[in-house]
Amino acid sequence: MSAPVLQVEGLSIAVRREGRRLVLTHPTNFALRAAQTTAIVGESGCGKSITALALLNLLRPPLSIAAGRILLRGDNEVQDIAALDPGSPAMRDVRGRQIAMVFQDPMTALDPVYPVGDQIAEGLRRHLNMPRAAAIERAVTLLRQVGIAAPEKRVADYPHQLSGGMRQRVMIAMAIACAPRVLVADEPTTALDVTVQAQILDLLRELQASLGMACLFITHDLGVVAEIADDVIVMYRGTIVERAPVADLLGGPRHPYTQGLLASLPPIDGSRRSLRPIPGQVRPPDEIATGCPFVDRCDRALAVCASIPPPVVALSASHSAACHALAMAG
Amino acid sequence: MSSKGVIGFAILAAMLAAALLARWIAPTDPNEQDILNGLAAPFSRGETGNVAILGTDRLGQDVLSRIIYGARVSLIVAFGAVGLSAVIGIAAGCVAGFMGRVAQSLVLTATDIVLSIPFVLLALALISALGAGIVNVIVAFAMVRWAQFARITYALALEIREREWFQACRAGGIGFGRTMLVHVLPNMSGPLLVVASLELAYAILMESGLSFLGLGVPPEVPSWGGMLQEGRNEMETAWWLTTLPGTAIMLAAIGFNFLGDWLRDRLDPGLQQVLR
Repeated sequence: MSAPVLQVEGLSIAVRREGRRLVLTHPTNFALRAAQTTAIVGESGCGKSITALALLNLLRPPLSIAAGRILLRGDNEVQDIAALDPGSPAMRDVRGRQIAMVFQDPMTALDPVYPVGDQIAEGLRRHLNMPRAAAIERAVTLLRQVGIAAPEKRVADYPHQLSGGMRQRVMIAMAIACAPRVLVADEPTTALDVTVQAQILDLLRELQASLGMACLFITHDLGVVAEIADDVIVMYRGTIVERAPVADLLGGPRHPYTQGLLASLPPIDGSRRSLRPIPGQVRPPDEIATGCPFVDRCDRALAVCASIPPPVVALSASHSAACHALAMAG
Repeated sequence: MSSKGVIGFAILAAMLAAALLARWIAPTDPNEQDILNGLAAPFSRGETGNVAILGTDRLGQDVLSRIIYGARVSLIVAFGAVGLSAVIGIAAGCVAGFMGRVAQSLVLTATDIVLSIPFVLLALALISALGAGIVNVIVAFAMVRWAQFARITYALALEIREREWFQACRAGGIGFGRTMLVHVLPNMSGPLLVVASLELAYAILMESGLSFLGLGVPPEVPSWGGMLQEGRNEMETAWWLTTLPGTAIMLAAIGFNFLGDWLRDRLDPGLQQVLR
């Protein structure tokens, strides 16, 4: 397997509140490889989106990277993004050029006062020093590449003249404009119709294959995960609880939380069974957990779970989960 | 366009025309004295046979000409003062909105302090220190009214920095300065234009007030406030000396207010849906 394009080592994110520092995500490790899609799954507030923002060093006070390294592998050097000053020119050269981001809500993610072509061209001019005319021409090509009909006309359209799906295509065109090594997509299909969702996922997959980007896909939708991911990371309260290739994870989830997530979805084959929601709700992050983050909602909790953080259990070469119950069984 | 908008634009156009074309459209030189024909009523034929359409003052200076030339002072002061306060206020508001907690509390405290000082008192103090004159009137106005722009800009900044396109600019590696000038400011322009047009009306009133107190432009420069001051002693005998410049001040203020109202309605996307 090729060396990872982006390697996250021991990344933890903290928030400063009333002078105290509160850790939101516990040391997280994962790697993104070229032409592979890694999905981070979890419910609201589990730390998915701040992890995505941290990859671009875009956390704003009171949020900050507390520890860890984010190593971006270039052609001949390795850069630690976590060590760069968030406002520095070096960091800005990475954003949009090496790592690009697609946002959740295409209705608000485009500046309403400029034609979409200019917004795509802006990144090209900024990062590749293209003159305006050449950048607009390239924007037309990019719009065609993301499947927008009559791109030479659309390039002069304002965002409000486009539908939600088209705007998300424009966002994707903006993101891939400078051929980044890593694409971070933060719930890019959540705000779209189901049919448009499928089109956008197809598009992302095609582009990723043809451009060889590493892709980090943030979502809470396991259906989307099944569509697009190669590897899946399941997060709960700022901790990775399980990681596996997509087929293993969806076919044989091992962590009680992942099992709970899957049990709460209706089966696609039409068979009828009652859905089992996970009882309780996510505790707020300022309740400091000493043991397993999932202990209060877990139906297999042991005495040890409340006091000692669970060990990471390797279930196969590529499948692991952090759970006391699994450790004892294994 | 609504009737308010039409009236507002008509008044602004008339003022601009008066100010720019004063030399050609004013019947006489505003400072040309014709003592023999002093205090002539509007449309009366004076001793020397000249008809002054809007009458003359004690020195025989033509009121119409002075009102036409007076538009210059009003417009220069209004645009100068509002322009200066907008530049200061928008910059301060952006600093407060985008630069972190310390800057934010500094700017907001400053606006609170400034807006609690009575404007005329501050202007009196400033102008007695700096001396009377157009520039000092502009400076005095900007020293207070920047706070109005700063507050609105700050409120808009709070909204804009949560918009995803603002995040997208940052995620695209666009620098802070460019993001501000190219993306943030144009998105603020609607509400800020409304504020500016209302501030223009306020500036015209303030300039007239200061000129009336003798704190504005020097007496030889015709201004509407100054005319009120000069005519105030003849109010009972020569009504036109105060009524006419007073009307000009009122019309100008109404015009800019109407313009502001029209802009606000026009730029409010909710209302626009209904209007179409």
